[in-house]
Amino acid sequence: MEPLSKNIYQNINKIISHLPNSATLIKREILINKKTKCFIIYVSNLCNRKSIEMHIIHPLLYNLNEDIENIENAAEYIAQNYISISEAQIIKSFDNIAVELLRGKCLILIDKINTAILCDTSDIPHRQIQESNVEKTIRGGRESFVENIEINLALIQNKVKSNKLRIERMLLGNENKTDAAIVYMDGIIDPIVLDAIKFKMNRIKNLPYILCTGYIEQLIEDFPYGFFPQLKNTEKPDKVVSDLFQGKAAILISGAPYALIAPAVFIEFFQGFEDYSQRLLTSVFVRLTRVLSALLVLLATPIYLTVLSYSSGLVPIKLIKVIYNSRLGIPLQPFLEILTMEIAVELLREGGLRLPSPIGQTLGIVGGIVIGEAATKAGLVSPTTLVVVSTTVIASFLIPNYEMALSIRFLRFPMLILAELFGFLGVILGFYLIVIILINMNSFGIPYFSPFAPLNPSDLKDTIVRLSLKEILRKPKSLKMKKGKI
Amino acid sequence: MSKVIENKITQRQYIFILVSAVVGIGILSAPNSICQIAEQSGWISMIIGGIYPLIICYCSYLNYKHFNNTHFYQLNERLYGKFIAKIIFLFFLITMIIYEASVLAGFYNILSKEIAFFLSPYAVLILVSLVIIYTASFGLQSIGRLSEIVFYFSSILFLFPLAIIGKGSFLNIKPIISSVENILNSVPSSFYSYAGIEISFFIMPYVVNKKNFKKAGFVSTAIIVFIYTFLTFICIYYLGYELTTKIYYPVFFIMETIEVSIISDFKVVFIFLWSGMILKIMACDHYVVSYTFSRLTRIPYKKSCIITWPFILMFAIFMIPEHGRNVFLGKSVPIIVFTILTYSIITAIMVKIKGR
Repeated sequence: MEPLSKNIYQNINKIISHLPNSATLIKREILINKKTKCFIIYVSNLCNRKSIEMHIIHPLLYNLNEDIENIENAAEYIAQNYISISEAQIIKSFDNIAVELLRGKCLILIDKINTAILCDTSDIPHRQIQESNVEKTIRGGRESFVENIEINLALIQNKVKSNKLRIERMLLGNENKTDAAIVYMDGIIDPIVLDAIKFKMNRIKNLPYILCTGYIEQLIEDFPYGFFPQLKNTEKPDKVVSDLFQGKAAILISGAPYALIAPAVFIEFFQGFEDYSQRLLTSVFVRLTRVLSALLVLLATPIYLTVLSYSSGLVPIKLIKVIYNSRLGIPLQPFLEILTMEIAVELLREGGLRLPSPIGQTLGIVGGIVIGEAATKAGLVSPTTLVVVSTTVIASFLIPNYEMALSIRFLRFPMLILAELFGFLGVILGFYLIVIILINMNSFGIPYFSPFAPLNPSDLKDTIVRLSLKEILRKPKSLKMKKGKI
Repeated sequence: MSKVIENKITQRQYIFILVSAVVGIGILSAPNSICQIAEQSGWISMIIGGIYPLIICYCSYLNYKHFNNTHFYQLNERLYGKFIAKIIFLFFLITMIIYEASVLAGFYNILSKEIAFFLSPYAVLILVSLVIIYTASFGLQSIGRLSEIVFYFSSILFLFPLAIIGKGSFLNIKPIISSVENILNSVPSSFYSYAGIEISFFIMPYVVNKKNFKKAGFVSTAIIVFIYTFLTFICIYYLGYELTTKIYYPVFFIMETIEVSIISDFKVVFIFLWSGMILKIMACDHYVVSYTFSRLTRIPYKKSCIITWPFILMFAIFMIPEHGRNVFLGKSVPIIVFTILTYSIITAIMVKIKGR
């Protein structure tokens, strides 16, 4: 930490050398008491100019009539008596001054004094809080995170009025110095899990740049080549708060309207925040349909392919007759037919995702109905294949977490290849391998497939089914590392 | 930063590993072999035969009680000296290779009739064994978690026979005691059904919470005995002992008779669920094979998993012909089981004498 010198020009040059060569940097020179040089330094488009003029420049120019060169701790004296800004800090070194200026703060440098005053005058332009387009809720708060980390933290703090709430700030990226924060509930989160999160966050902070939560997710997860997401992504402050109370931590960064939740276990990706607001039985039913839909996405087309190609005896004769009759005259082999349909669906989905919503809907209608209908009439695809593939597509939309839905959809393809090569045995082995992968994964030391394996009976109350809120409004044991935990 | 304790298992996982290591391919044919001698009282022989897993579990408990967490290899070294310890481990290595290879070959035989008839035996054996090696390579912790999860899901299997509960006849199991002599004579063959429980010796030091460890052994024995007895009873109750002795896989036959409206062949559903059990029994066996091999040769465990693969594969290829496999197992398993039984009892006595 290099200390500030008494030479004001030397200090200014040093600070400027740490800042980007930007025209928006303002160095306003004034004379205090008509003799002592003072510089007000700020980045104009990040600050509230009126506030600087009213609460810093005006009092220094017109109210300060003392000879400050003879005052001991002059910077502190000025901050206490003349600066009417709510947050003013006395600094003695160059440490992080450039970063603070880029956060919208204003620096007061006075000649012949080796301390400076840093005032919070930030007014960074940001998007207003809006309803989330991705995570829609029927019952629950509408507000979602924005790109400004301060607002996001305020949204969380507003919902958690507990003295256990902790916010640990850090800077990520050597070049872009993105503001980041780890939010958790002290005494609720397991210290070992928290250590693991902090350790991994500290490990990545010296990378050149980090732009969004997706970067952090990939850099801190235990299995970067794994199929499944190991951290949850959400843009709803209510979800973050709910997870904080369950003993998890949230990672927020400036510029990302998302929070990362760590650790996360597999079954959580099938639970919706709304499940807890709905009636008990309906939410249980919804959860069961989600798990069933995940199995459908993964297994329906491979089993259908197996039935077509190898194990026609699996289904009753009347049904197999319908399936075979619908395939009469189809030039493509079953595998190619299904694969083509699956790829077409993925193309439509990915295309629709990037387009503005009215055009995206049109693409969905044109793609799904017109091309589907045309392909069947042209005899390229059988109607039964179309039914099976479209059922899996609809089923994939039931998985509430987009990342998880994407992972499961992706797994269909290796499963299809296994089914084509080895028939039903391939499906069995593929499914078994997925289970093996799941049970061997950990998220920050917490077994990914818990509370199923290792089994934690008390936490089963809130998994595929859920019990009444009285039973489940408590900290899950699965997220607790204890001596001898496997 | 603390991490999850590697290669350790919970007591619950210990119970399910024991269950996994025993309940496998043998369960499909166990009622057939037991009813040959005990007739309609086969299920009673199964209960009495439970004494074998009970002895093994109790001996494991004694090992723990007197030698604490001493690893099985070191325990043998301390009791019998280095040379004999190596011979004992070599015996266990061969035993487990036979078990694993026989399950692999038996699994292929089932698959080849139902869902893998279009594949060459080599393709099936290589494919399945590669999956097993991959599973076992993660170590005991992974096998513990797998045993736990697969047991819960495949427990559904044991509910299926309930579908035919109203279709059988209690006359098939009467008189309940056919002949005391026959029942006692068939007990040794029920011992063979429980082969595989020996894994208890190897995994015992890795159990984290050993409170009520003796109870854990009894619980696992109770689960195993219940499964075997229940299925034997159902077979006799539904098919009668004469038919049970004539069908090589009577449990499989019962599954075939279950009717579900949208599935014409219920066997395939059964195979889907049952495969999980078979894969985990092979994973348990391969763990012991790699563990013993690693201890004998001082080659790291993961490498041992791969090095031992050709031996398993070779044995499995030899065991594919069903008749040859039965003849080989009919001769080797009794020797293995009684050697292990004798060894366990001698070790228990030695442990009592030399232990703290």
